[in-house]
Amino acid sequence: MKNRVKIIRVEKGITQGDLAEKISVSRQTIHAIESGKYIPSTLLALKLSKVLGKDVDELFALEKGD
Amino acid sequence: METKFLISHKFRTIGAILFILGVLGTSLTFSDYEPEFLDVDVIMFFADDEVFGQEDFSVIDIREENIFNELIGIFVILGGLLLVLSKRKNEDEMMIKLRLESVLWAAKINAVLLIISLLFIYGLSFYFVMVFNLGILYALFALRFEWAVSRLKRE
Repeated sequence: MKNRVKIIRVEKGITQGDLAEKISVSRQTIHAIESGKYIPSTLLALKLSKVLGKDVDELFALEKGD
Repeated sequence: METKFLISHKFRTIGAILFILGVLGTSLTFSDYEPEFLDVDVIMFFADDEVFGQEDFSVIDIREENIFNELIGIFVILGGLLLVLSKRKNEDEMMIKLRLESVLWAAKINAVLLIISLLFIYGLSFYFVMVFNLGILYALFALRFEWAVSRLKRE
């Protein structure tokens, strides 16, 4: 699964720490999501979507083989 | 593993202390250390063991026994449980995933160690394997989890 969380976060001028605080997770979790090492739950994806002001499918997209 | 199964962060230190005391105590049991003040009357089920040649079998009885080993066993089990089930300060869903991966990893490694022990360790030595096995699952779980968290922090 590929994601555009980092790109959109940077576009919005939000730091990893700020984003983590807003959705009540650790900064390490944001880093792991952005680097594709952790696929968030639906709940967390919806929270990210709300905070970043984008639809979930703009943040995450399936890749071949998923 | 859902968050509802986890306990407060403050139990982490208590768990670590109990676990370490338990491990240190386990090493003392090999030198037959049994402090006299722990000689107490205990309720004993199936108070006989043919392996050790006891003859006065009883389904249930009250007999004097030194409870040092029992306390150490409880320290290891309770300490290990508190250690691995207490929340981290930054507990979130990824931490729960790391916990779950760690407990599965620990269960697999523990099973492999037990099978190897079953195949290659016999007699009274196997009793000591069982004693070690009281705490090894928790130790493996805790070590794997700490390793995963520290790796995450480094990244």
